[in-house]
Amino acid sequence: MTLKATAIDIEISSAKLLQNVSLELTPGKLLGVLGPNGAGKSTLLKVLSGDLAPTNGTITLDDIPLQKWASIELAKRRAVMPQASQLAFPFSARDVVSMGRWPYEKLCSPFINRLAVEKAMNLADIKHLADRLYPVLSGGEKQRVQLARALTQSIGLTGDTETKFLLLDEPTAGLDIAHQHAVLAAARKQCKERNTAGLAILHDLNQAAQYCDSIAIISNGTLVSNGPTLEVMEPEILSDIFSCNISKSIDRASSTPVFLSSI
Amino acid sequence: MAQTLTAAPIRRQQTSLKKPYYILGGLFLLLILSSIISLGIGGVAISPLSNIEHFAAYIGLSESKLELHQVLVIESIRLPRIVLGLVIGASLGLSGAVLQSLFRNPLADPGLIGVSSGAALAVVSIIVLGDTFFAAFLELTRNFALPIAAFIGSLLTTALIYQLSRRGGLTDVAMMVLMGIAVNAIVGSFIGLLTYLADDTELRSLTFWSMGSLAGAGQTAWPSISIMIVASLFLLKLSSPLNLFLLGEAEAHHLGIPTERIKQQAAVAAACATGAAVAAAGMIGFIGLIAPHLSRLIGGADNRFVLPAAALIGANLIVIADTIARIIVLPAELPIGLVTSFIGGPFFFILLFREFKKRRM
Repeated sequence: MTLKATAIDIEISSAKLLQNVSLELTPGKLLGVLGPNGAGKSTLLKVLSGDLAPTNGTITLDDIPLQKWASIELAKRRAVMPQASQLAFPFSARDVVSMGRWPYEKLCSPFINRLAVEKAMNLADIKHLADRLYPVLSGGEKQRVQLARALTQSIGLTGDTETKFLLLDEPTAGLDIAHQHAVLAAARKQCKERNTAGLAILHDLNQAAQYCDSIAIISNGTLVSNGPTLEVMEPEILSDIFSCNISKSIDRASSTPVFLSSI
Repeated sequence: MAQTLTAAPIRRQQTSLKKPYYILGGLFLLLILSSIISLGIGGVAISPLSNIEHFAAYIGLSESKLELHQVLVIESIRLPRIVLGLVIGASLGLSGAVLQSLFRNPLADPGLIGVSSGAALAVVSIIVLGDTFFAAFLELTRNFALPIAAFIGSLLTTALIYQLSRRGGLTDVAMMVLMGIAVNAIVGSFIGLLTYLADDTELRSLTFWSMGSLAGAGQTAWPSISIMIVASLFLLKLSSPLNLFLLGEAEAHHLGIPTERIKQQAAVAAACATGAAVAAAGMIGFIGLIAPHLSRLIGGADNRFVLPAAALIGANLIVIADTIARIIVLPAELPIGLVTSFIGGPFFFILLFREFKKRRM
């Protein structure tokens, strides 16, 4: 029941985007992916979602290579929230979220589908936007609609016991601070409550430390470090990879780690 | 209180789901009405009521009061013309809606981006140069020669535009429209060149191809009509997957759509429909742009509604435009492409103007 990448290489027109990356998503856990711009984070997500076939290495879901899965079966197992999604046509926010139910459209009653849609919209806090047209929403609101679409896809069917995989490409980009927390909390809740395996590409170190169960750090196309959040997020490693000074202190009130950065 | 809160959104959703299907019924009735009226209008005027009586007589419901020459006019001239118009309008409307979903761009139209021109160029080349260069092709395909040539022309143009105007899963609108201009210009110059090579009868048919006319209705149009019907029915089946395409290609793939296959099927079927339409009646512009836009205006963007509605509206528009083309300069007749461009040009202008205002905000 795992999504597993083993010794992945990605080479596109002789540029090496990923080298020898091995990674596994665990049910019930949210994995944060950190790394500088252009390190290969999005490429890794594309490999895990099946958009990009690895040049070398294997990527398997339940021990079956991803490329052998029929797209509709794969869609029942993993959902992806894209970085930015443009839509030039006047669909309402609810219509866009409902598209996330496509893999299950004929497998359960319209009532169950509608329930899953409403539930995801509640989680992403877009209930009040449901009847607004998607193209006129603000960037942050669009992000949340896309999150709800991915969430409703990963809700699946009632009594569904198979592990779902939720891949989020910079889910907090363009959101105000309250909604950044809301989005990550929603993703984490989905992982814990429905035993979903989550992956989120993040830039904020504090949020990564706060919401992720484990962290993978990518730099120059290689996996530098991968493990439980507090073990991986060492100030020395982070300072080195992001080429700036990063220090860690413990906040007295909440006794959680706080990262400070400066050039 | 809690009850009213939960009941409201559910009720709203039901109406928004059901409303469009009433509209489809309404559009269908409108289509029958305009067809019957169009049957009666022209040099020989026949009232709609006696038309209905005449056709009802076939199933024994009434008695036809029409005279022999009237029967001849409606049955062997106007009826085939209207049938051809209905099928062409539906195919063009549908192809437009499908191309817009495929390119994820509301400005895509078979005429505008050059798909129709590609088909027209192929057809014109076969007509003028067929005997000299394509004799083997003509012998092989016989009645289907023109539709097949048109199909090849439109498919090649679709593939070319698709290859050149897309970058990273997104369509570059400027590129797409410029490609259309280039293709239209090339086709224009070729047709211009061929007019010098053509003899008198060929010359007449060249104007026919470049401006469109339903005058070719009759037995020779049957191959094209059958191709259009098959392609249109196929396109209608793609409406749900095409909805997800609007989100983006990668997103559609994440939702379980076999994107490559759907893309190829949609492009081939749309090229078939457009190509056959051009082969039967020449280039009739703007239907593929106007029909899907009107559908979205009245019933929202869901392709499960937009596709059938665009087919019905397209058919309606062609029947109305053809009626105008037939009667406005009696006893002669205008090319129908002129009439649709006359309506479509300003319509396109309004669309651009709205886009302009949106960008200024």
